[in-house]
Amino acid sequence: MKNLTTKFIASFALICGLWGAAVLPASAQLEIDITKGNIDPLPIAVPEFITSDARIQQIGADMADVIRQDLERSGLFDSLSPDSFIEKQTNIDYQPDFANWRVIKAEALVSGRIIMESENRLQVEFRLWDVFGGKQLSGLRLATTPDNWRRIAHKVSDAIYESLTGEKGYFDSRVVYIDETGPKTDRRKRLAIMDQDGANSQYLLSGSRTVLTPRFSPNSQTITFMSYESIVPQIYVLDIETGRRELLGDFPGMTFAPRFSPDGNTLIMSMIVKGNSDIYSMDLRSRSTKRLTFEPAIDVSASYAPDGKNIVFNSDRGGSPQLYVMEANGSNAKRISFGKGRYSAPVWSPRGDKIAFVKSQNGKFSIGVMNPDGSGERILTESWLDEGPTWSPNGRVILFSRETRGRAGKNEVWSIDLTGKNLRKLPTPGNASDPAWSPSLP
Amino acid sequence: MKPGFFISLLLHSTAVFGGIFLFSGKIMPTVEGRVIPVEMITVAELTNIRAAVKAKKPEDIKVPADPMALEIPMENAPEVAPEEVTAETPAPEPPKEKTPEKKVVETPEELPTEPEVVEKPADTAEAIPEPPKDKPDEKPEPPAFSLDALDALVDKSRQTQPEANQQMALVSETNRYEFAESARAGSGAQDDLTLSELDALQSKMYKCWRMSVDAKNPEDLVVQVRVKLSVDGQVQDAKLTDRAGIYASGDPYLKVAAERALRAVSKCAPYDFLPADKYDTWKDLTLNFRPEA
Repeated sequence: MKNLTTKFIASFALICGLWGAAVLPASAQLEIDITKGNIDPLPIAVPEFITSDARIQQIGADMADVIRQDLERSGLFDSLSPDSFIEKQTNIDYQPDFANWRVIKAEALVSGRIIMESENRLQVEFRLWDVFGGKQLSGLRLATTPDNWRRIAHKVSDAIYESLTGEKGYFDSRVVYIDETGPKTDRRKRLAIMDQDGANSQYLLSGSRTVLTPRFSPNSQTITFMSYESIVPQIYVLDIETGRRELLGDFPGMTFAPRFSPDGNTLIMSMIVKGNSDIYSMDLRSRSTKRLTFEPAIDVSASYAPDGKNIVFNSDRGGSPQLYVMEANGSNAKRISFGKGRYSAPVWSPRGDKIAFVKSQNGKFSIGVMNPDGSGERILTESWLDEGPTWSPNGRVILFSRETRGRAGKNEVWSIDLTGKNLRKLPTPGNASDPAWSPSLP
Repeated sequence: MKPGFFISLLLHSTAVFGGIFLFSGKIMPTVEGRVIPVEMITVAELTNIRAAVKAKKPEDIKVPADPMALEIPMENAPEVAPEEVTAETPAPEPPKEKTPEKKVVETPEELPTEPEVVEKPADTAEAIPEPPKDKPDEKPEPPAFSLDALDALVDKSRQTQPEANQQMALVSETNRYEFAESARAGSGAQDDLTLSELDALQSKMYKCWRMSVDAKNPEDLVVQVRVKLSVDGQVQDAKLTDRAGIYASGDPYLKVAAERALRAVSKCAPYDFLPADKYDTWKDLTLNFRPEA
């Protein structure tokens, strides 16, 4: 009996002890939530790419310059002036002296080298360093012909952008636009193409036909556009690499506002039949068309979601032009825009998270974005006439055309990023409008 | 028995089914009111403090106006003079002398009362009739008992000399946080950073940490970093708590968010603004980088 009591007391004590041990805090560690950070551009140092070959020394300097401009224009980076650099790099195979770069407040450092391998082969190497972390974030070796150095510079910018933001870069891409010449009353509108930074501008088509609304295929270097070659405007498809141009079918009515599906196999467009505009899709391989909307209202400007499951379009079925989202087969249309004003020209972002649109209110035009369910509407720009938004391949920047008022008014292409704070004009040789951003080049 | 059973059954079922009928549509889900977000903050400056004793004011050392004047005439041998100087110069000595003096003065005052008490038994032994005399003498006294007299008995040392019984700190110790301007009771171990210290850390982090607002889902990009700091606030080690998980997730935004968090930690160093006396509290920090839209 006594033995039993002892056992009982012992086990009771043990349980109490265990419980006490569990309740005691295990070495209280301080945990702090950091919820607010800055969104300032990241200071980055891009010294000129080093080379031992005097013939390509200029290319080394120019490449660094293009990279600096690419990064600066994105609004996410602050390219530090080369004049402030303390350290002059001579070899990129060793870790730089990070203290020298910390002093000038650089958080990232790009060191690059070019080697002329043969008469027409250039090898470019670069490393991206985290100055405060003291480690390499990325390193690449690229080869090209010497006259193609600009594209290599854009590719380097893309790699830097991706390792520092987590987002794919968009610098190695092109923009198709309408080059406009002559007075406003008698404009010649020709199809032209340039790099996304405005360099290498050239005409795509010979002749002087009026061309409108060029749109890129999301996964190839093919565009679709509307041309007034015949009396009735028709839709064409043009392969930029080969120059092959094709008229798409013979439609019973006027067709306009064409746009590719995400896989590039379907074209979605508006067609006016018996005075009523509706949305049609066309399979590019079988050339069969399918009517998607059956409303007596004006349904125009359709754009696919990047997953191809939904379509956003513009309709005045509710009384005023508003944005609607429907499934790809035309069913289940839902209105998503409910603000004041008139909405038009919706474009689904390639990232899928936003829809860009044009909004007109109180005699002004704006470019704005909203979530696909209609929430989170934000106006990014406002002017006398802003129109034709087109997304960068990574869905972070929007190009649009801006027209200034009056007879001497100009047409220009501008860019704005999702924050709405980074508004820039693209350098074009003359008047330009209706930009269409290509997917990233292969 | 039987009719009672049936009546009971009838009444119960009436009550149950009647209840179902009556309240069928009335049971509504509780209405969801507006949710008011409440953030719990500890005001550690006021709620988590360690007991402290009053810091002693640095004593004024009474330096003789002309130290040399006190000296023994310099006629003495130079070898002896320095010894005497060192022996006599300690100024604090005079106060030491004073306190014993006070005690000496006080004790004599108390002493006379004791002998009286001792003498009384002797008196009573000699003359027995005297006690009755004493008693009448004493009787008038109780009427004389007043609140004032009682009041006089109360120890007023707290009012008259509020600092007399306080624990005093040595002057050399007053820099330590156990000693404050005035004594206070403790209500904790004072091992938390105060709100203002946390604010200082957070505002410093604001400058160093670049938020991933450009990502698609910035609120989901939560990164936890364990930071080990040295006493002078230098970063000894900064590690992602879930490094493997972050890199295995394949989410490029999360990877960049992790790199940005680590960069912020090293960029903000040194953390010398954190109070050194609470080093035990912040030597091991866990920072949750949690972007808020």
